[in-house]
Amino acid sequence: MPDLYPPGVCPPPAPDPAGAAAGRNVTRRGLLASASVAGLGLVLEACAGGKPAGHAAQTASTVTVPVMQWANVTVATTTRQIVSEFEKAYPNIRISLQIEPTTNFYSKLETLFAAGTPPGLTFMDPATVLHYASAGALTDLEPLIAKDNYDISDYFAAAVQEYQFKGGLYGLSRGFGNQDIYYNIDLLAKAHLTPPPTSWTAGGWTFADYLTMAQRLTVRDSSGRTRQWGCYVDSGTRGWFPWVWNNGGHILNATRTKSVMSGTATVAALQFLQDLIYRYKVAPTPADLSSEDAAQQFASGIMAMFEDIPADVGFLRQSIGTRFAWGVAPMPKGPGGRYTSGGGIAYALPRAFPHQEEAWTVLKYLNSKAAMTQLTLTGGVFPPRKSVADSPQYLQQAKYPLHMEVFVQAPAVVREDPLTIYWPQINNVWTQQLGSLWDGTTPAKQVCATIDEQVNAILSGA
Amino acid sequence: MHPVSKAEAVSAVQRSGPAALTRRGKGGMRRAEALAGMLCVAPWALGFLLFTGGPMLFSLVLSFTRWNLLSPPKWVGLSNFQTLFVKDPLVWHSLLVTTLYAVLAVPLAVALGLLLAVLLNQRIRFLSFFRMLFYLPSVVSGVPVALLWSWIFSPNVGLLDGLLGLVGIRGPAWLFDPHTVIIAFVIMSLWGVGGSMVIYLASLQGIPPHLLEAATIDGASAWRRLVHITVPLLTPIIFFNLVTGIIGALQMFVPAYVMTQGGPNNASLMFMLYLFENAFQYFRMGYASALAWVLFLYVAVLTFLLFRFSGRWVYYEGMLKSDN
Repeated sequence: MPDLYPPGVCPPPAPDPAGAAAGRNVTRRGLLASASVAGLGLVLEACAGGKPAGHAAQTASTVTVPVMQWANVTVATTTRQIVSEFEKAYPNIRISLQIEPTTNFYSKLETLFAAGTPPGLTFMDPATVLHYASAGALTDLEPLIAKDNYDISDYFAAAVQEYQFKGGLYGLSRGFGNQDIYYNIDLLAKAHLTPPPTSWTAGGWTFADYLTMAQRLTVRDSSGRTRQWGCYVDSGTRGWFPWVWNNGGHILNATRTKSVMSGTATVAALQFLQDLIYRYKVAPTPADLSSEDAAQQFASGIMAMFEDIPADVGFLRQSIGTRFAWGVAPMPKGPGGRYTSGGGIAYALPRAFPHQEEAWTVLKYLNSKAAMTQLTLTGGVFPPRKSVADSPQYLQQAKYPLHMEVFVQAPAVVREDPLTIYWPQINNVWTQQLGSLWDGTTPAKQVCATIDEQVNAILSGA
Repeated sequence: MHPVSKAEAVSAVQRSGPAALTRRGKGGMRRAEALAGMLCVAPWALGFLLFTGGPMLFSLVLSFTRWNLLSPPKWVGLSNFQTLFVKDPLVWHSLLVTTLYAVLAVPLAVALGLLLAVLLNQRIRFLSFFRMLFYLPSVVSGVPVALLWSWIFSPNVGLLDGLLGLVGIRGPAWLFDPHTVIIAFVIMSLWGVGGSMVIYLASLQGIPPHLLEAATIDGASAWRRLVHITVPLLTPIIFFNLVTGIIGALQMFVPAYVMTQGGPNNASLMFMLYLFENAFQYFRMGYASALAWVLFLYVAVLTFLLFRFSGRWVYYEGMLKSDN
């Protein structure tokens, strides 16, 4: 008989019918393969995705409107109260309030828009509204306003204009800040100084007056270390705008197609601000502010004058308590007049959100006179509604700051931000180049020349 | 039934008998093994395709478009790359800043990690405690570390300038000075040196003791043993840490984003930060994708050069000198 199994060939194992019946033919390889298939199935299931993040569950009878915004603790609590009252009044609409930190707010919002699942309402500043509106991503509110006879005239004109784009309105202002000067009344009295005026149309209170007051209020110890700052230079974008305008300068030309910061008046205004820090030494350097920011230093009583917005009133009241008296004054006047910058924030309605009517209903309620009054009592919102801003509830809600009517008068002299669709890049140029102004390494003339060069390259579409 | 010859019988058995079964079994087994292997790899492969390969391909396509996330992408060909290489000075600036950071930080981290490992390879008291102490910082990373170092570098109340002040030195403004901001980041990067220290420690303990003993018997000092025996045997690990360190350093983002936002005056504008700004602040996804591919190619070229010249100084165990 021939050898059925040539050398080197192993005979197959003997069949084991009983074992096969008992399922004992599971091999390690088979187990691994099964586990991989199961894992693959899990991965595919996970990748199938659930409901989009921006749209919560809808039932036949209720619609959920996600509202995405930021807020401090007090404002968030009040907003949740308002939401609760809304849901009682409108049982068929639920609001999903998403309070997000400011740091990555816009990145998250972009992602939701890109995914086609934007929230029903979202906070946006004027520059962001411009960007999204120009891309057709926001709903024009004008037809909705007309349909419901919504009283837009109660809003400050400037608060409406900054959200208008090509004849439409793409954001309804929810908070309309402006730059003002807070001052420590006790420190002024101690230095025998007359407080600044309380009206934007008053005479006096010029750049020179501001410098003189700051110099009188700056206190140094025997070693030369400053113990009390006379004033503060707000290096944020809206912080330096009013100084440029009030000195007769310009940032962009009238058509916003060219940067004109090399003009004499603009350079002089920015040089004045740099001199406050490094020549006259009446304002802290950025390094001095690294450990304690200006609001904290003002609240601690070691800064006599502090440029800031009305929305910080709540924080300042909490921090200052009854330790000293404080008030608010308009910006100093210059050869160009007395203006201020402002902008604040608005609610915008994304076009891709499927329940436009419901979102509009929510927007009207959140921006209603009653809701806005509740919010302004937190001290964390300056109302864009004239009737709320000029009401006893807002003006007399607390003892300090004195002269809150300065906030209410400010919208009449707010100049609009020089917005373009390149605002984020231009703002970045301002921030980076003016950094060398604020740290004292480069004079204003050189900084402005560099800014013009870089911004004009951006504006030309390069 | 006709009689069958022996040859025919053998042939018939070979075609249909156990040998044939073996040949068919071999092929079948191989196929089964291949299938099982592919199934085992499948979850990773799918994950790679979905979360790495696919997005990379998408990013490559996007780099030839203009896309603001809100409107459909618009094909612009090589326009993004043209802008990147010719018209945008911040690209070269950020690449220079990033490279400077990598050139300073990586060798320091390699040297310090090695030094710590050599020191912690000695027989000293509380050795485990010291190893834990130096390793622990590398476990904490990201934003909390960036915030902590922001305080450490504060010119007014920071720890560093405070310590320098104790010895009469007026410390620099660190993060607020364009001349010192990168140095600050380099110092901060040494916070995570414990991770590479552990790897060196493991390698040190793998060095054959008889080599060191033989050198000791021959009269070699500790320094000579370190330089001529320990370090050469550690070169593969040093090379590994060098490569991974450079790749990591060229992608530095969190400290620049959290602590300086690229300032002062773009002095700390890292390439990844500039990429992020273009993508998420300027809504230029296509341009940001082009930047990402430029960074990828830059890192790939550097890594290739490192591997290319590694033969001159990296010695793998068992390798003869003539193998280089």
